[in-house]
Amino acid sequence: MRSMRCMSRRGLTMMEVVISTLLVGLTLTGAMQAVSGSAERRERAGDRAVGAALADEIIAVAAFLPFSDPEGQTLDPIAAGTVEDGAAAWGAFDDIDDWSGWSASPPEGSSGTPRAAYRGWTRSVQVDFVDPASPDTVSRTPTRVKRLTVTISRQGVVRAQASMLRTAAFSEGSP
Amino acid sequence: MTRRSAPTRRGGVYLAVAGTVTFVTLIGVAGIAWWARADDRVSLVDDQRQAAMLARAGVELGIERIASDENWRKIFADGGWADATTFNAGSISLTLTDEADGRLEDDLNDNAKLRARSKLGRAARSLEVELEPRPVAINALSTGIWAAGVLSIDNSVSVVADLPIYAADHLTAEDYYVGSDLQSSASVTTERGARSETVVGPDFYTQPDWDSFKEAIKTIGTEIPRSAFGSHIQNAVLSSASNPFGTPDPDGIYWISGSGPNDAFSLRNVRIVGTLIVFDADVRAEWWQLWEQTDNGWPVLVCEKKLTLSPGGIPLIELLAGFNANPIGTPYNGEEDNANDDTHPTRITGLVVGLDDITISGGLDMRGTIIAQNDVDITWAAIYIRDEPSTRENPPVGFRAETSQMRLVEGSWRWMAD
Repeated sequence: MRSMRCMSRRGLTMMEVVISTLLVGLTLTGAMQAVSGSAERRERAGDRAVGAALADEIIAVAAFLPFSDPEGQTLDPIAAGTVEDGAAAWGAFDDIDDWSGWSASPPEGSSGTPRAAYRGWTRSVQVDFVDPASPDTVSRTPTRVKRLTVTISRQGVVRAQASMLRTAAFSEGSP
Repeated sequence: MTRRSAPTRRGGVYLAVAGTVTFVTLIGVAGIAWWARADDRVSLVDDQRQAAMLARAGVELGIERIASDENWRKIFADGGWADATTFNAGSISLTLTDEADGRLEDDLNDNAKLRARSKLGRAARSLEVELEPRPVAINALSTGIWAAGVLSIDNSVSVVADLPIYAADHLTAEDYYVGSDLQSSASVTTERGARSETVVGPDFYTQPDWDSFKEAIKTIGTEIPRSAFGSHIQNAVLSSASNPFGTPDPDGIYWISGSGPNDAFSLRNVRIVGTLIVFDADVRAEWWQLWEQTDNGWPVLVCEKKLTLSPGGIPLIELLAGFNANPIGTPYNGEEDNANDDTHPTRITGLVVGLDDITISGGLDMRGTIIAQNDVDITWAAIYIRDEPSTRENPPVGFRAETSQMRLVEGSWRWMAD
């Protein structure tokens, strides 16, 4: 009898096992959720960084382009999906509205070569005339300010966006 | 002994479990906190990136506002730009300062600093550029010939010009053929008529600022000593790469100081790519001439005394002249060589300024404007004058109109601490 009591004391009671299992289970669940959430956040942050880099690439190139075509086409209403010069690759674009309606999936290099590393990504560009006093407001009639917006999406979800303005005066006044 | 050990064992289990749970929880919480912080940093970097784009957009908007309203100096000084502009979930505010005297509205010739401040989320950026008055040519540079005195066209002259010919005083044409618009602020008299004859008001054309121009030309270029040549400069190329009389001037600007009222010399078979300024001597340009103004805006030729433009009107055949007009460093039409095997036309491209009388004779193919502070006499000649808009793009001091228009000073972009 004495030895049996000693043996039962050395083991765990049902209550101890239940509580311990519950605690460990809860902790593991929380930890798993945290790990999963962190991984998701890490992936989202990574996507944002990739998206920002893809958007900035276009902005950096467009920043050097004039407001209107150097060969004389000026203030044409911007038609979506048209490229004034018929240039196939964005490296040959020579003014801001050449980007209007442009889209590529996966994103292309400046010579038009698709970048396989970005499969599943889409880079699209929109150019609009905007109100000079309120550049968030799109104008249906030509103004002296154009807004170029680059949208980067992955699997249909927008990951990054970047916008720039180009004004007629800026192109006229650059030394 | 058994009574003492039993509670210890039970407590130990709870402590071990609690300890493990706490440890795992702490690691989890620390991980979450670390990732949250990392995420926050990524967001801040993204905000800063977008704020930088906003600031850049702000500079564009500021330049557009300046270009769109000639009263921009006064409007800004009166607080007209006080409201921030919202764009792309951020805001942009603009400021203008005049660092010369602190008063933006007092002088159209003062530079201005434009600063665009942007805010987006927790990020703020500040970008500054310097703007300078944009040189705008006076309308006298939109004529073919502009004379401050009288202008006479003799009866053996053929003049074809797609720009007006103007004299502030009387304009007389005993012409053989005048295919151009003649204008005067006094009177226009023609024998056979012209394309049009107009008397315009004395203020129709803006006078050059002669004093400023004369002061400015004293400070530029490299001297060609008068003693370096006799009665003429012949078979010579003057450019930023070529100076037969010494070291080339990096801007291709040369000046010669004559010896006084009776000094005179000729230019024969001379190519100028840049500027030649002649003080205190009469100049006669004859035979073949090929002059081209560079984009620094200075006239291709300035003559303080009497100037005669009398090119032969025939091309230069290098082989016959024994002279290479397009040596290495001074190409013509993109071609340069060390051989005498080319043929070049006689042509003047740019602005020619005479600070006294100008006489034009011979065959002149002019792409630009001839400006005389005194009279112009066109004698036996066949003259073609065509518009050359590039001569108005960067007019020299003295030929600039007052304007509210500004342009960016190259290399003045600065990110500022905010």
